[in-house]
Amino acid sequence: MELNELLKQFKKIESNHEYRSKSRAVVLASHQNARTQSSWKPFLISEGRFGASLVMTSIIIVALLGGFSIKTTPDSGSLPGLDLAGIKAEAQAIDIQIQLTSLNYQEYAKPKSTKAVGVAPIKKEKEVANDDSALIAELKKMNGETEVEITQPVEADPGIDQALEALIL
Amino acid sequence: MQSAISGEASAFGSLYDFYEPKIYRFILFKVSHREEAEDLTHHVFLKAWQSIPNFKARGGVPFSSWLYRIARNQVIDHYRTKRDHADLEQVDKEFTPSLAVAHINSIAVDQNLELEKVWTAVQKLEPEHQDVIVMRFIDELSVRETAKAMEKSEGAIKVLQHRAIQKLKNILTEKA
Repeated sequence: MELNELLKQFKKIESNHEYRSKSRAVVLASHQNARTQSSWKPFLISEGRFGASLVMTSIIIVALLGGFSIKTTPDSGSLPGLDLAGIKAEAQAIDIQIQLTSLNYQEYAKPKSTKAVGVAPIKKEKEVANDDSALIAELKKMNGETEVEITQPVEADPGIDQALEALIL
Repeated sequence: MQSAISGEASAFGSLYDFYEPKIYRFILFKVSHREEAEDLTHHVFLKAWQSIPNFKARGGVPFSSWLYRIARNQVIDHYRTKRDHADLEQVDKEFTPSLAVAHINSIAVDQNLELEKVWTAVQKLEPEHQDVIVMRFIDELSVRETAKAMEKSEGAIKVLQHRAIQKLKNILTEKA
């Protein structure tokens, strides 16, 4: 007989009938597992948890080491030969110089602007006042009225005077 | 198949009836022990029933191949456990060729001897050759099904099957 035919004879091998029916009943009576999610999901979740814990651990380590190094760094006040009073005085001197420089600038700049802004209006007011008084007087003459002094004295701004004085000085 | 996947017991029962003899034979050739083969076959179907909702996710693998994969893994686990707990009692109970042939009903007495020789020769083959002989020539799985079950390419299965038959023939001629 051919080998192929002999092998096919083994197809007749069967399990015990009693066992088969019992096993079938037990298998079908058992509960099915719930459909599991993607095989990657639990892996990713576990990996994510691991990653998060790793990050937290490294943050804690950095914080601890950082805190330690800050604590161990010598205080600026405890440095030998450091003259705090001298530094403070130097800082204050720098501030004073800055103030003086700005003051000089203001003194230089202030009078010019005052001249331009402050003097010109005075001149204009006077001219306008003169023109108006002449016109009013003429009108009053025509109406037969007596001449009344309408021009008012222009009050000088005290700030302008101060600025001028400062400029001269 | 869809009904079985969706958890219908009667549908899985039909699959059990069709595949149980094949899986039992496959396992019997591997373990040569009737009770062990029955026990392992039961576990294969129990595992298949419990994890059949996930079968759909294994795209491209036929159900038969999936079952054979479970069976192969069961046999591997069985041998691993057996190696750890081996004792003399278990060795005494080992299946003999005559016992195997005794399973086959309605065979002529002259064929009996030939079948015993073939059984013994198959047992001498390497596990992969054994698998391919049982799947392709006894359980008559297609090349594709065998390839999927053994996680190999179809070309590799054809080569493996050719070599397995040659070796089987060599063993049988040596004996003769």
